[in-house]
Amino acid sequence: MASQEQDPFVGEGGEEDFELMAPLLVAKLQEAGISAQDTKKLSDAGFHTVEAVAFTPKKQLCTIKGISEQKADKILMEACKMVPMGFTTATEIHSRRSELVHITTGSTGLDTILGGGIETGAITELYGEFRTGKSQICHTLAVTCQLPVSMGGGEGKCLYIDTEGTFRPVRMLAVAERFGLNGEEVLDNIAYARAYNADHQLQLLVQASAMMAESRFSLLIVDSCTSLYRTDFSGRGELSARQMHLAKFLRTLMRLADEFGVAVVVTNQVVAQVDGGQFAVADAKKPIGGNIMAHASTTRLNLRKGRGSSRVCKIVDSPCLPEAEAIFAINSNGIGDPEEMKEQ
Amino acid sequence: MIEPYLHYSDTLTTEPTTIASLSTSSILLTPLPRLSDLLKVKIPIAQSYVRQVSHAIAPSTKRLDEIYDQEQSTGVGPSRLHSDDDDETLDRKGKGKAKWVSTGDAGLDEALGGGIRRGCLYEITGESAAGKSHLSLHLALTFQLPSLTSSPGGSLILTSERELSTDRLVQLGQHLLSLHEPTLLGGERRVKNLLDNILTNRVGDVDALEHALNYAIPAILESRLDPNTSTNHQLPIRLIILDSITALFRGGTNDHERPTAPNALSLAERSKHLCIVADALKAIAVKYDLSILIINQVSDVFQRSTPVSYSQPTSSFMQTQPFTGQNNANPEDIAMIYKTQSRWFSGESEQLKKEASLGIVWANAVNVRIMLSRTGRRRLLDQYNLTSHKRNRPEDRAYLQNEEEGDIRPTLIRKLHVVFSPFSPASTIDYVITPSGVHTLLDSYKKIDVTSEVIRKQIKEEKDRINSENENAGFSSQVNEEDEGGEEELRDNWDEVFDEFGELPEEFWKGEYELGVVDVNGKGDGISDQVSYAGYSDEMVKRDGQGSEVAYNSVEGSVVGSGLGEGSVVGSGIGGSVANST
Repeated sequence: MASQEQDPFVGEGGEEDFELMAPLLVAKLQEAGISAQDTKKLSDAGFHTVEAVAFTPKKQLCTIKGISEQKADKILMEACKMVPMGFTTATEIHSRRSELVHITTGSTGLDTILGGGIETGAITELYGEFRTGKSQICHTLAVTCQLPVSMGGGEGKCLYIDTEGTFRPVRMLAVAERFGLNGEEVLDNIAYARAYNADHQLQLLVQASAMMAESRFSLLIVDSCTSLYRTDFSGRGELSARQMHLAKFLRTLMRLADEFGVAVVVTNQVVAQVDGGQFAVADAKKPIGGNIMAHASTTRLNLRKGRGSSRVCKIVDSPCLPEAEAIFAINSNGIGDPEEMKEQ
Repeated sequence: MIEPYLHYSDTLTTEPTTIASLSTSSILLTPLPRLSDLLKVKIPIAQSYVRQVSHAIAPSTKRLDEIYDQEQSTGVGPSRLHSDDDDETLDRKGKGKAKWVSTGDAGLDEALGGGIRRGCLYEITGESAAGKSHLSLHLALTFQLPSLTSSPGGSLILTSERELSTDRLVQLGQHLLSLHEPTLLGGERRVKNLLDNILTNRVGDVDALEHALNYAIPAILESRLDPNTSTNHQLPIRLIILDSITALFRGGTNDHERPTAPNALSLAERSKHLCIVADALKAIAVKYDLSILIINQVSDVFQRSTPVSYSQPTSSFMQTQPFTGQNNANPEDIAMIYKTQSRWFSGESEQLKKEASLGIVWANAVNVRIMLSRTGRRRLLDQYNLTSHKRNRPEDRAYLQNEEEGDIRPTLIRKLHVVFSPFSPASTIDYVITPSGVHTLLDSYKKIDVTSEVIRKQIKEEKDRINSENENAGFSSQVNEEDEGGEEELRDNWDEVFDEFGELPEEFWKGEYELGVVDVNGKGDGISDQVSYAGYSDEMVKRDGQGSEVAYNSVEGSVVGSGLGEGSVVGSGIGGSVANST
């Protein structure tokens, strides 16, 4: 009886979970009607398991001598029937997601609306006018990502790509002190690079993946992602070239986030809308980057100035978080809760 | 799968082939000379063989009225055609109508012509944060509820950008169950069953998608239908969702080169892949009797140099001739150019200057196109019974006290635009997203009727012309009674404010403060509280209209605008600079 009250999403019972299937040998395809000669040709070509065959594109199978297009089709059909092709149920994904690491931002209000902090394995975009706290959040995150998971961190290093020259290590020392970390070590764990143009920015990601393969990184910051595109590409004529380049950059970021499980934080600038539109406001601000940027980032946070040193952050686009606002403050030791909240 | 015809190069055995040893597809698809060679007969004989075989295997033709009668009697037709009274209640939810699945929301069902139909390719497009993925999750869950459809089924979700977000799925599942099937018990167990019937996988690029469509997906569909391999609560798959297809074609796959702008060759490649994908999807939809939902993104439409009318089809003969060199044929508005025609099917409208991506090839491939957008307007809405409210003013406080359970929040109004569909007329309907999913708002369903739009415009132009003549002649201008479609009268019970990102503070929604309104023409009529315009404000005016008191120091910034907003400020003393920083 007690087991029925358990959260049904947590794995039930050890045996069901441990279906560690041993890979099937190619010879097993003979049961499905593939001739023994063909399976021998497959294993000679280097495909020893049914899994290897199932995930290969048809073109590649056709290059094997003696396997015609129809045969390749049939082999693939049978192989895909035998092997679970990577389809999982939403339940499994859900239970995996409960183990997802969130990196704390330093402000409890902000962490709450984000569901624990910045999500790893996804791209979070921060946009807002100047002095709204984008770079400050990045500096704080660069330190908190090194905290152990129990303290809300990511237990990994940080990679910081800077395009505007706003990187100030002294801020990070202050944050490190707040969390009781050794300042020197903290700075040692932050890999910094300055990008000088859009191509360079893209190239840095190649180096980034090499570095991430060697040691554990938990956070990749690009501050800011779009400022170089504004200067490198100008005018409507170059717009599609710019968007293609930006799309490629964002896709590479997404791949890094997926492959290495790092949190990716990008900051974005805004542009004032001076034209009309039906309900134009004189001073409406829109993030730049257009539709490409909008669709690539998983979560978008809109930052604006509040009273005094406090800032307001609003979730604008998220696959699972409702639209909510949080107030945080920029203090001398990084991002934190605003004064009034602390007094309460 | 059809076997291709026998190649000349295929080495057959040396025994003579008889007609009996060939498969029907080989007979039908092999070129005649080759066939006559193989069978050692003359060509006319081979021709007669082909003819006989094709007669034998061709499906029998059916008359339309027979099909119609059959559908009516087995309840397979769309709900609104049914006239039986006892089926009235079942009708609304699509239950009993095997081909149609209700979306769980009556307004949405009406806009779509009965719900989601099996065997069809639906496209949901819209800008980011419009609610596309959310709508697809909502449908993935409603497809499984037996109270909404006579044959519930699970879904297959292919994601191309990010992993499925399951938190919202769980939350939606709980809410939908309590909304549509509250009497059954089971709680969390049932939500888990809902999620168990949603399968998901990532597809990284077009090749992976084609591979999945050709092999992996049919394999899974078969295994779910096979009673041997499927377990108790596993439903057959009835919905396939691809979120999103645009991401597969953007971003480029070539790792080495600097990505360049798309050229004709790459567009041709893209069209080829789109056709292959669309064909494969439709074949699956028909063969396994399921619906397919594709999520697409949008691109901006650039302003044309001359304004284009959405209600006036070009009829001038001159404009159908692209290269006449005539002076008056505006090259931007030439009738048969893609840019001119695309406004009818791309989802672009006067309010939304965005069009669905992937061009005309994809537009022709889908059966139904739905465009979602954020209108930017917010309204105070109760999240449970969806009633609209006016902003609570101090004098309305009594109403507040009676409120026990309601959860009233400023909610963003979104718009769903059925761009084209074989089952329903083009229309728009407003909806909101609440914790319990997608809900359309009552009375917001509007059919798009091009003819009456044209007539209305002509009348308006006539009136304007008369008015301007009168003004020139010195008469006072008539008050234009025909304002924007008479929507103002309906707003007794609620008002809307333009606030795209929800930046207005709570005090404003409680009615304690108003926004200062910039009056463009200097004809002050004071503070408007019908549709006002939000923005940043240094000072907000206190409700009793006392002018420039510093009532609320929210954010720095600029002049609150109305329309094209520069101009003098009335009554509120907002002086702030227009911060046009870039």
